Amino acid sequence: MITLFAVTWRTDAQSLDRDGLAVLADGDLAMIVGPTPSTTSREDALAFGRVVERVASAVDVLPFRYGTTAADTEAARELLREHESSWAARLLQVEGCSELAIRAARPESDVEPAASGAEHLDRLVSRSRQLDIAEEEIGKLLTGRCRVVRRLAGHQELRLSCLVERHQVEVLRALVEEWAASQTELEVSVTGPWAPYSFVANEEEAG
Amino acid sequence: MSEYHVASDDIALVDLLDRVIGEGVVIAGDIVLSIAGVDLVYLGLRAVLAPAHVAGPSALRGEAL
Repeated sequence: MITLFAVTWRTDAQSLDRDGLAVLADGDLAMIVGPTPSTTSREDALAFGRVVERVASAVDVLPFRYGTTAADTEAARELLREHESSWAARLLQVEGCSELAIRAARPESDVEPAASGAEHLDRLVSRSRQLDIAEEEIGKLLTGRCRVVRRLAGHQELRLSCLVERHQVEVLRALVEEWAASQTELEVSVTGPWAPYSFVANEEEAG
Repeated sequence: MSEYHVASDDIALVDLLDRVIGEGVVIAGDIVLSIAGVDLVYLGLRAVLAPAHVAGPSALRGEAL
């Protein structure tokens, strides 16, 4: 059993520092694979993510979701052949880009128990509107600077994923952090750059 | 490439976990996971595991979130 970390261009894979990883090439693409740990824990998931980030810091990648495995190298190569055209198209879509993650939410310490059900509902509506306004304001900062923006599901928080050309990453971070400094009721964070996890879903999965 | 930078270590870990278990390329077929030794999770092609920081036992069993 081998773990699948990411797909990249065959030519880019040649320059990678493999450090325990293997590269399986077929056609124009290459798959970065490695041994599968005997355990699956949160730490293993983070370790998987760190490997993907290390690779993504050097080359364009399509990261696999944690837990994706193949029986052996031949099975992995077969996957590469089977998906070559769609994965190559998706690699082109994220070429030269990283992902930035933006979160905005009211601080948890800010929340006192509601006196009634009606007050609770009022607060939910108010918070939802506040996040919609934040999304609109952040959206203005992102316009023209992101290739794609996705709003991810969030529980009483705004979660945006931005596909950003690498030379714009620090520009965008600075803009959002400057906006965040003016917010008195929201806590805002910007993390990344990450591999473009949120922009490589199968077409039938993309929301 | 941009230098790795985070707003805070904890938030960055959550954001990374969100991505590695909830996003990324999925290949048709089921993926079997055990998160933090709590439960077995069967991820179908369309199933999405809740982010680790909000995933309770019901989410880990793949029930509606």
